[in-house]
Amino acid sequence: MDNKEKLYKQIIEENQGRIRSVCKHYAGKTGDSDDLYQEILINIWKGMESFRGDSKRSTWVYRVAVNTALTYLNRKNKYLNFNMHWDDGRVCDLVCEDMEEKIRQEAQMNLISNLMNQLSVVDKIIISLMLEELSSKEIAEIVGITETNVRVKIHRIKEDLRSQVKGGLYEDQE
Amino acid sequence: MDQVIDHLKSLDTKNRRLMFRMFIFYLIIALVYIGLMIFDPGPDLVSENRIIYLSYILIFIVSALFFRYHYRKTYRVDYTAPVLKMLEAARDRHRFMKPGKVWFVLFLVIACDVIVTWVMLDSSWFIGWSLLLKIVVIQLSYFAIMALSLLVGFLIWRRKSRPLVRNLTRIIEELRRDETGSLGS
Repeated sequence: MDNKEKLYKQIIEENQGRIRSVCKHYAGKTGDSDDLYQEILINIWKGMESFRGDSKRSTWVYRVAVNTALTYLNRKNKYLNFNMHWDDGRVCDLVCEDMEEKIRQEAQMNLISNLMNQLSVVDKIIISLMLEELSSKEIAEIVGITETNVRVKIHRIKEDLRSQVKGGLYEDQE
Repeated sequence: MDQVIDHLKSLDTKNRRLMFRMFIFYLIIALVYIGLMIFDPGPDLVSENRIIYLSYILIFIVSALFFRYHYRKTYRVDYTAPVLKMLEAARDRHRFMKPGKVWFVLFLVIACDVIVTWVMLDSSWFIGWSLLLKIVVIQLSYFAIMALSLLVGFLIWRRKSRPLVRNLTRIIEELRRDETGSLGS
C-alpha cells in the first residue's frame, strides 16, 4: 500500500460521516446520494495532491464535497432550484431561541424546512454547513468569502427565517 | 473501500497513458508531415508551395497544442478550491469569448487567411481576373465563412451555455454581496 493510498483511506475513515451528511443534504436518501458519495470519493482522490495542509483536513473535505455536490446538481439542471434534506432537530436549533419555543416549534418543522428550501443556493450552502456545526471561519474557508460575510449572511438568514416562522404561526393561530 | 481505490488507481493509469499517447500522436504527425514537405521529390512541388504547406502544418500543430493546453488547464475542475473560486472558474469555462483566447484565435484566423489567399491567387478558378478582384473575392468568401462559423458557434453557446453562465453569475454576485456588510442591529 503506497502513501497516497494510506492517506486516502485515513481521510475517508475520518470524514465518512461528514461526506454522508453533505450527500444527504444535497441528494436526500435516494440512490442519487450514493452516486454523489462515489463522486466525492473520486474527487478527493484526484485532489489529494493539491492538499497542502493550509486548512484543517475536514474543512478541505467539506470543500471538495460541496463543490462536487454543486457540480452534480448542475448536471441535473437543478443549480438554482433544488431542495435540501434538513435534519429536523438541527433546523429547530437554528430558529428557536428557548426550550419552550423549541417544543412549540417542533410541530412547525415542515413549515421551517419548506421555508429553508425557498432560500437561495448560497444561503442553503451556508446554512447546511452551519448545521454541520462548522465555525464561521471554517465556512468562510470552504466557500471562499470572508468570515464577516459569513456572519452577516447567517445573521440575515436567521432573522428572515425567524420572522417568516413567526408570521406563519400567527397566521395559523388566526 | 479497496474496490474504490483500485478503480481510482486504474483511472489514474488510464489518464497517464492517454496523455502519453496523445503526445506521441502529435509528434508522429508533425514528423511525418515535416518529412514529406522537406523530402518529397515531386517535381511539381516548388519551394514556395513547400513553405505554404509547412506554414499550414505549423499552424495546425500550434493550434492543436494550444487548445490541448487550454483544455487541460481550464476543463479540469478543481474541486479542492473554495466554492466561490470553483464557481468563477466554471463561469469562465462556459463564457463565449474567453479573454486569453480571443487574440490567439484572431491570430490563427488571420494567419490562415494569408495562406489561403496566397494559395488561391494561383487557382485556375480566377484565370483572367485582376489581382485586386481576386483578393477581394477571396477575402469576402473567407470572412463570410468565418462569420457564419462564429454565428453557428454563438447560437449553440446561447442555447447550451448562456443559461448556466447567468445562473453562475447570480450565485457569484450573491456570494459577494455581503462582503462589506455589517451585522446590523
